[in-house]
Amino acid sequence: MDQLDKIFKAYDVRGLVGEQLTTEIAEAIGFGFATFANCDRIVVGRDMRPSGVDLVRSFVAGANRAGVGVDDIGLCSTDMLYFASGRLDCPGVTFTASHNPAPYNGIKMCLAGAKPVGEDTGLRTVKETARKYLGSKPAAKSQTGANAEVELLEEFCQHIRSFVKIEDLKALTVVADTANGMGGLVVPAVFENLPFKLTMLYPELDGNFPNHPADPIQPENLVDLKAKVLSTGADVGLAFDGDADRVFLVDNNAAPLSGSLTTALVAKAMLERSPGATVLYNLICSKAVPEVITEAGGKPVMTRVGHSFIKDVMATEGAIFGGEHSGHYYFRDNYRADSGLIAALVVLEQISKSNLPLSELRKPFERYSDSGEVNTRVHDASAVLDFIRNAYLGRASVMEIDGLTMDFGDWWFNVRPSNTEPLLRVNLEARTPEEVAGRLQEVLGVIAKADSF
Amino acid sequence: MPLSNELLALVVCPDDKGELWYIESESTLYNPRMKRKYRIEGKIPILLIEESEIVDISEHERLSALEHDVTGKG
Repeated sequence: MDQLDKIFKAYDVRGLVGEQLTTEIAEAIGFGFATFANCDRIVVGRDMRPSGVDLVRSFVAGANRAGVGVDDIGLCSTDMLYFASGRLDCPGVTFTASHNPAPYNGIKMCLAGAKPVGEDTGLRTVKETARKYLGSKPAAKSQTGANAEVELLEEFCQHIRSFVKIEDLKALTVVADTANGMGGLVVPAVFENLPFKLTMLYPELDGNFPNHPADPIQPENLVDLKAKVLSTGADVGLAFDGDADRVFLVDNNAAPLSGSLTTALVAKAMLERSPGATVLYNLICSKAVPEVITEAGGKPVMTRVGHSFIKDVMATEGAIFGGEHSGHYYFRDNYRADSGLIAALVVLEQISKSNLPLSELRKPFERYSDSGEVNTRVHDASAVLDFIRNAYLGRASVMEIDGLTMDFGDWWFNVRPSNTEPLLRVNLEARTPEEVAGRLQEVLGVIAKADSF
Repeated sequence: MPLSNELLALVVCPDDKGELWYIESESTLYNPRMKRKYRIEGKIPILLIEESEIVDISEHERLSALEHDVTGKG
């Protein structure tokens, strides 16, 4: 396993800057991606990490050497890069390590129209071309177009706002904690022409994350937001991750909404707009999600976890919206890419129209209790899955679209292996918190036994 | 007069080059991402950005509820 193998993950590139991800490697990946994408132009952006400036410069040099000109949109959130790739109809990359700590950076790539690039759909080819480039640089090709700086922020904001009816919005009070990430740029810009009263927490772009890690799925990172919501009497709190593509919400009582709950809320809103449409949800989402979709007259379709699967199924099913428990929300009319900002605006529109506080609006969607994602370390994941399947055989319906899901009617669990570590991820849902606690102990016990052989 | 499947497989939005909805009942091609609507005259789609129309979200909702084919699969 060489240096490139270490930084090329299933969906993106990530590594320690200077050690694993150097300017030389960024240049090689620029050449590799431009060659693979086989296009005239690439759009490039970056998040606020200081290392991004040099890495982008090197990437552009590599792309130029492959004969490809670059449109540089500068600082952007990841959903803004996907928008740029869609609107400009060209492949795109952004330098970001999402919620990872300051010493890291990374590269997310997509093809024209924000189409996903994963390990089997291009990343491996990019890696091999980059590897050859590091061995010996090929002669530079003549460049098809000059590099240019492109200003897209206002167009992006208009696009995000086009998902709601401005006249339906009320003057809600909103606190947004952007954790010194890219939300500090895009959130105030999108909210500028909206009737909401916005208070920002940690809006300064600072890739050293001086206040708290930019990972809102971790409850400890919501502490400041919750306090601010309560102290200001706000209607909603929004927590964005480092590249501002994921969002988590807290209600007027500072109680967080799970990704499933937000998926259900947004699904209902999208179905009011497009009756009978298809909505996707990943298999970790609460059973309440397909129930809500069906009750709202929509067609629920379950998918695996991960954005490339969701985008593919969205295209084949013609789905209007898809949600993941992890805080990713995908919209058909957003080039099937995910955007936390769109999801947040749709929920704010729902609150405005309902005349209810979010603490009330959420109630019909919360029907079950869940364990959250519990990780457990194992030696042989596939042997453990076989053991669990046999242990419960005949008592549950079995589904294997992603790991192993066993459904017992009034409770269910999914166990799936991590792509990168010797871990099993367990998610379990039941009627009450007590049942969840009991059943989780039982399932973890079976896993421990399975792994002891 | 409906557009042929051969033509539908080929056409995309001249602005973002993405797929369009062919709403036969309204003789319209529509880009739901940019909310851009192109009219069809006889059997000829008028795919000119300057002749297209940007619709508001109410019209977008109305169009979204209509039956449509997706173009650009060719």
